[in-house]
Amino acid sequence: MTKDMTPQIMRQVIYAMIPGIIIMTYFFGIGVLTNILLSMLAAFLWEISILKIRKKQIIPVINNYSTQVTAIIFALTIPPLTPWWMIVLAMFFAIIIAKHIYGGMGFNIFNPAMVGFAILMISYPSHMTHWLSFDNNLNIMESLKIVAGIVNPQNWDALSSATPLSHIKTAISMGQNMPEIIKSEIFGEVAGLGWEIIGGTFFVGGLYLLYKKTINWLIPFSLLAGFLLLNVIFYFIDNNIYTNPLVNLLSGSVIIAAFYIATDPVASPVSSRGKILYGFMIGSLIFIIRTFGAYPDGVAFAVLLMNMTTPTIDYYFKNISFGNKIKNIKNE
Amino acid sequence: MNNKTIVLNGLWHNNGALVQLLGLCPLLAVSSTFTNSLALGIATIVTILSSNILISSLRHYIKPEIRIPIFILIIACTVTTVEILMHSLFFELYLLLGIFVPLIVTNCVIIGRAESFASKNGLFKSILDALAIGIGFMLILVLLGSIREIIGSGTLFAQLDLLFGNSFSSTGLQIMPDKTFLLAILPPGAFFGLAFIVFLKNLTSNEN
Repeated sequence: MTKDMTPQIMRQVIYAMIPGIIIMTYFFGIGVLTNILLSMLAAFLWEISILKIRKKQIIPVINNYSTQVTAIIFALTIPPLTPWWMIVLAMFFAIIIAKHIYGGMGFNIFNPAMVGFAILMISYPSHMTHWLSFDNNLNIMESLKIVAGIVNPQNWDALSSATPLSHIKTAISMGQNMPEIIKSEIFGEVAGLGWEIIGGTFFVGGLYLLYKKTINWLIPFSLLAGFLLLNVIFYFIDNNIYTNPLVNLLSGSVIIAAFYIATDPVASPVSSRGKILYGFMIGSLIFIIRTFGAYPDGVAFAVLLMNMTTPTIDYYFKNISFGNKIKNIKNE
Repeated sequence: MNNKTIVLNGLWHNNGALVQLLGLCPLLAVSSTFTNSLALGIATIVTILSSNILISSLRHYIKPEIRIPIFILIIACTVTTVEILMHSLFFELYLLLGIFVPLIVTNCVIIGRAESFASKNGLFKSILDALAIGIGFMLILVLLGSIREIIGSGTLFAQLDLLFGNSFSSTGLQIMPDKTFLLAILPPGAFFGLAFIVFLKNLTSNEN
C-alpha cells in the first residue's frame, strides 16, 4: 500500500465526469469543451511556471492528474464560452495563490477550483450568472470569437439567459411567487430545463465513484442531507417563497459539489464524524447562501467557508484507532 | 542613531507598513483609490508629526508610570484637530473617508513612534523621525492605492479635485476602464496587494 494512489483516484474522478461533460456539451455546445481545454492549458501554464520557480520536479505533479481535475471542475462550474483571459486569471488564483503559496499539492487549505470560481464570481458577477441558452445557434467560428475576447460580452446578451437559480432570485425579489416562477419556460419537468439531466448524469457519475470506493460516501450524503433537510423545512413553512427542494437540488451545482468538489481529500476532514459534520454544514450553507444571500448559487462560498474549518474539525473529531476509547481532548 | 539612519529606517528598513506591519486597518480599508490613499497619508503625516513634536517636547514632564494614557490623550487631540480641519477644508473628501479619519487615533504606527522614539529623543530627531515614518507610510499607502485603482477601476488620480481643487479633473486618467478586475478594489484586493508589496520588499532585502 506504499504506492501513491493519487493518480488512480484522480483518473477515476475524471472518468466519472465524462458522461456529464458529454451531456453538457450536448446542451450548451462547444463552449463547454473550450472551457475545459483552456482551463487545462492555463492550469498547466501556471503549474509548470510555479514549479520551475520553486525548483520542484514537474513530471510527477503533471502525472498525478490533480491539476487536470482542478481545471475540469473549475471549467464545469463557469458559464460555457468564458473568454480566455478570465480563465487564465482564475487559474492563476487557483494554482498559484490557492495551491502553491500554501505549499502545493496536498497542502492547500482551500479547494483551488472553488477559489478560481469565487474570484470570477466576485469580480464579474453578471458574466457568471448568465449562461448560454440551449437553443443558441452559434457556429464554431462565432463561438471561438467569443472565447478569444473579440466579441464584446455585452453583445451576446441575446444568446444567453439567466440560470434557473438566478432567474428564481430575480423573480422572488420582484414579488412573484414560486408556483408562477416554476411555470417559466426555462424550467423542465423536474427542475431547470436541461439542468435536471445534467445534474442526474453527474449523480450517476458520483455513484460510480462510490461504487469504485474512490470517494467516501459520508461527505456526499451528509451534504445532500443537510441541503435537503433545510430546504424541505423551509418549503413546508412557505412554498410561495422557498424553492421546491427538487428544483433547487438539480438546478445548480449541488450534485457536482457533493460528489466531486466537497470530497476533495486534501481540504476535507479525516475522521468519519468530521466528514459528516463537514458535509452537512456545506449542504446547509449552500441552501442558506442561495436563499438569503446576494448570490444565486452558494456552492463555492460554502465549500471555501467549510475548508477553513477543516483543521478545527480535525482537531475535535479524531479517528479513534482500534482498541482505544474516546479520550478527553483536554487530557492529551 | 544619526540623522541619516533615522530617515532611511523610516522610509525603508523599518517602514511602518512594510516591515513593522503597523497601521494595517487604515492601510487596507482606505487604499481603494489614489486620492483616498493620499488624503489619509497626509492626515497621518500631520498627526504623527504633531504628536511626535508634542511628546518629544513634553517628555521630561511625563511620568513614566502614566505615559501611555498621556500619549493617547495627545494623539487623540491631534487627530481631532486634523478631523475638524478636514471637515472644514475638504468636506467631500471627509465624507468619503468617513470613520477612517477619527480612526487614525488607533493607528499603531503613531503610538509606536511616540513610545519608542519621541519619548526618548530630542525635538529635532523626533521631527525627522515623524516625517520619515509618515512619508514612508504614505508612500506605501499611495502605492497600494494606485495599484488597486488601476486594476480595480481602470483609472488613476480620479477625484483628485476633492483634494486639490477644481483645477484637477475629477475623472482622472483613464488607463483601462473597460478591462477592470473588481476584486482589486474589494477588501481581498487590499490583502493581496499588500502581501505582494511586502513580498517584493522582502525579495530585495534578502538579496542585499
